[in-house]
Amino acid sequence: MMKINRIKRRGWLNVALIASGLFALSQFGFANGFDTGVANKCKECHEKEVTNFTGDNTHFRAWGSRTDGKSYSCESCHGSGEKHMKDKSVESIIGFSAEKQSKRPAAERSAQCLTCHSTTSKELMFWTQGIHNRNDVSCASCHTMHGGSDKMKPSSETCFKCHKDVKSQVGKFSHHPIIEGKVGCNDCHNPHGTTGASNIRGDNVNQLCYKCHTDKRGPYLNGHAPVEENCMTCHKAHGSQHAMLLVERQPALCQNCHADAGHPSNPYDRRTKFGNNSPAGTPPYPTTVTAPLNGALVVSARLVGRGCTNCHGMIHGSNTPGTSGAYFVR
Amino acid sequence: MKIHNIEKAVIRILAVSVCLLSTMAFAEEKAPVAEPFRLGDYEFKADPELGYQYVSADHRSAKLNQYRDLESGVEFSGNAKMFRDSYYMGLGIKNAGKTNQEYNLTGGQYDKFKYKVYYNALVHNTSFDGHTYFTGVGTSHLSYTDHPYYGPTTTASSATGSNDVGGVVGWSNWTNAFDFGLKRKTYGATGALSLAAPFFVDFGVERSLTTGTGIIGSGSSMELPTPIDYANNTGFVEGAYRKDNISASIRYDISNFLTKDNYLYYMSWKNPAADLRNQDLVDHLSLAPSSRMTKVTVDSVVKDLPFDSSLNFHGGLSTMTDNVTLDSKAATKTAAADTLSAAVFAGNMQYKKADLSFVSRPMDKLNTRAYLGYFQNANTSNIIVNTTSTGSTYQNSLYNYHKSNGGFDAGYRLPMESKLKGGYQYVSMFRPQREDALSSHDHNFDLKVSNGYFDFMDMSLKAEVLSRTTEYEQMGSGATADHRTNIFLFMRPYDAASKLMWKVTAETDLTPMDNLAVDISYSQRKNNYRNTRIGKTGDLTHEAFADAGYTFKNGLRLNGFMDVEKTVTDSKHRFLGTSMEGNPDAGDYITPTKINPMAFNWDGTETGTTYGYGLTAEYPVMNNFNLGLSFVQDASSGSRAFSADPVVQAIVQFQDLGNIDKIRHSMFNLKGTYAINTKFSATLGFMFDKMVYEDDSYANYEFKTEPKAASGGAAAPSQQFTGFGSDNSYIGRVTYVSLTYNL
Repeated sequence: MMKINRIKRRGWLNVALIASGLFALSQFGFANGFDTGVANKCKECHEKEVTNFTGDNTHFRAWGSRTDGKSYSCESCHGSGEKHMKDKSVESIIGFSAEKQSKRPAAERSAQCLTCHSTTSKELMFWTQGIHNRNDVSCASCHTMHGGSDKMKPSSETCFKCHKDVKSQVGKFSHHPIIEGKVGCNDCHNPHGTTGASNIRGDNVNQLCYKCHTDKRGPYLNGHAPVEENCMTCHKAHGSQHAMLLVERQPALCQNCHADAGHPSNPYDRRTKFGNNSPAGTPPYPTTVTAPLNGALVVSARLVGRGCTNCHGMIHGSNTPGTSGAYFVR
Repeated sequence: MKIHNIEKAVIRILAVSVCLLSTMAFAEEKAPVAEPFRLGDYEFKADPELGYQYVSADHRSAKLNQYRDLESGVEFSGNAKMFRDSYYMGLGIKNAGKTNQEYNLTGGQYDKFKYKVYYNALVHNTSFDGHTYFTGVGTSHLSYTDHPYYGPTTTASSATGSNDVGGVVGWSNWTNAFDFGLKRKTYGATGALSLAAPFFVDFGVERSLTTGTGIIGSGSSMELPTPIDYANNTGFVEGAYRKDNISASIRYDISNFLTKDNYLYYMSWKNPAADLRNQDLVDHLSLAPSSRMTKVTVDSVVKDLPFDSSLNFHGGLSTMTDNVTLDSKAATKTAAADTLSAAVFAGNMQYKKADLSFVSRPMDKLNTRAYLGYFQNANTSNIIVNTTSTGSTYQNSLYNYHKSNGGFDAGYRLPMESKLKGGYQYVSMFRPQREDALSSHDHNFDLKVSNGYFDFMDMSLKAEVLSRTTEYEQMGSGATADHRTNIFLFMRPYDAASKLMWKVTAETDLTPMDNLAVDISYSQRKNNYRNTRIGKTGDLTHEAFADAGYTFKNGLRLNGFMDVEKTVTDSKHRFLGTSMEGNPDAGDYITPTKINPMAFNWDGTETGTTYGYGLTAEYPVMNNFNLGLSFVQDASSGSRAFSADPVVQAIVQFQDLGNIDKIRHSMFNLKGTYAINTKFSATLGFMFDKMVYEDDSYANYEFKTEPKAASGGAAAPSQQFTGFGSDNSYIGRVTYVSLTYNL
């Protein structure tokens, strides 16, 4: 504990030192590369949009600081305004609203952003082959260009506008802390595209989960094959009505695969709840039922509490040698 | 009583404010806007928020505080930004001083570099007020002085001991109370340099410390509070070359996962079920091992190829290793040690990944993609042969698999604002060590048609089909004395079993008026595990979602949503008594005269339904006063029905489980924000949060099950619980007030 406290204190000292150093770096020159003349012309008709574009808008600030001799303005994204000044139609300017309003396909709208960002952002490496691009989702579908820098960065709520099933799941009884703001969609998915399924930030599902659930990665002396293959065999990543994000309640979940002789074959019905401590053969059990089924008719640790993992607690893998480890009970 | 009076007072204040302000004429002036604050060349923006919240709850509840720190007290959050020329810096603070506090310092120079230094604390409370008779909770050794069942005796001679209450163990004697949960503190820094574009460098380091108490069920059915105390140190460096027509990057990741002092591989505990005479018999349990992961990733894209094409490549090679000094006593409850073929388990797993795709747009209306992928999990850990004191042996098996996939998809623009998209993917999976699913071959098809011809409506219809064929090794010979092994010939694990899956999804987005938007979607998915005789045989899921938003002329915005999901899962099983035939086609062996031993087939049907709905309203009562209200309810219910042949049914008399995770979660939030002037705004709000949880597995919760016979001639307590997960219901109320300063 002492050690941890020392580390924490040092951590804050380091943060302060780094901050001071980075602040010192910020003492350099600046030249304004943003053409306010163009912006003022646009403002005559689009006052709200131009006003929102100033302040701490990232584009406004970045362009304003450039020293490459080029001039940046509204036209950098929207194209020449000359034609638009004469012809007020949406076709005469590059708009970023949805296709119905802007009359431009998503790919064309995104291409405007990619002119710069395809080389500046590593997140966009696989944009062309990403699922969003191929489903006509454009940059402006998620990013707000004219607001402050905070508005430009989408939140989970942005994703929920289309992914309504996920919005429903993250509100369920068992969920990752997404609505609490501790985990964002962006932590697990790269919405701009990956080469794998579901845009996940991992070479497979397990590698992604191990980033936070590192204690589950092993390697274990006794592994559980479906666990090593795919966490999603038993868990729902976004949320579930069952505890621990399980896809189904135990013991039913485990009995879907483990239906062999012995206790996995027993029907754990309502008589195995807490409170049924009477020995088999006495009411409420039928007198005709004796061993071995009676083991399934008294209160059973395979149903109550967490079910199978009441005993098979090392279900993700065990380093105990022998059969105790193989059955994940030690 | 005092609490309720305060809450009522807050609600009254809010209600009166709404009534009064609604009757006032709207002010003519524009909403106040703060001018930027400048100091020399520097420009500052900040919005610190200082507040106080008063929390009341019907009891201490982990579920209410699952990921939150709901305690009465002062709250502080806020953001600050500073700009000077091309440089910027920002500081974000959330929940200062709380267990879920978060600090972010970001900054950089546009087009040149950027950095982030952060500290983020996560709390995950899972269950409060657990009870146990063990001492040492939170450490790696659990013990007791007096036997929990027999009391201070060294002779187990009677069926009831001095610690016993009413013939069974009384948990009221278990006075060691504790909370389950973990706290994680993560701090680190990342940086990105583009000083010499097109060459870019990214790097980062992070340390994550996790502490707490977890739950692990162990042999002899003991729920054990287990220590959580580990650190994960990670780092990465990435170099990239990015030009318009070609990009490539190489990245190196490392992760060192360390349990406390690098020793916490096992925990020990006195096992009262084995330790009947209080002989200090110590049992063992393995915990997460320290481990190391390294990974090299290579990505590249070549663009501007003929037909507007690009070639994409992703490759990854990662290795996970650990070295665990094995506890040869861990497999037994007695002091006798097993013999191990090696003292150390040297874990070594390699993941290899390669993806290649070719994307093109040969004509304006057509886009295509063809792709190939390969993934391999190679486990080259060592084999440990375990020999018990009685001479029986067991050795671990190492699981390896590799997966290949390939496919193509295309999208084409049809007339009348319609689009057609479709694809096919083949996936093959080989699992040499899984005789229950040696290999699988998947054929995936999907087709989607969408239309946006009408200005007021977009709609789409999508169909997906998966046909999976799996090959199995014969797992039981049927020739053994115990014919129960024949069951393996019929069991199919659902994660890899042959199946036919189809799913259809219909969606529509309606905007009949400028100020009204309605989205509706419905999907149905069915899995048919067509060759499964024993195991999960199928499931059917219906999902429906709808949301709507309407804005009134006076600025009142209403948003509502609802979702419903229902899943029915079917499975088949065969109850098997000793030496009975495992083949389910052998029929039932149970009649009033044939009950011991017996065998019979039975079916399980599990039904789970969840639904949620909510309404939010935002009303700008005045230009400087906004009122927000929301009500959300999520609920679920579940059941499991058992059925069998009528003869079996009449004898066994199944009783269905009627309550599986029956939940009703209601949240109400009322919030008013008043802009006092251009600099200050005040917020007053009230939140009500209620969870009602019922479940057959926790109903009439006890901290133990029935006593069972044990060696030594006396009855010993059987399964023993801690209370984990038994208390999910709660009622919580939060009243909060805050003042925000806008710099």
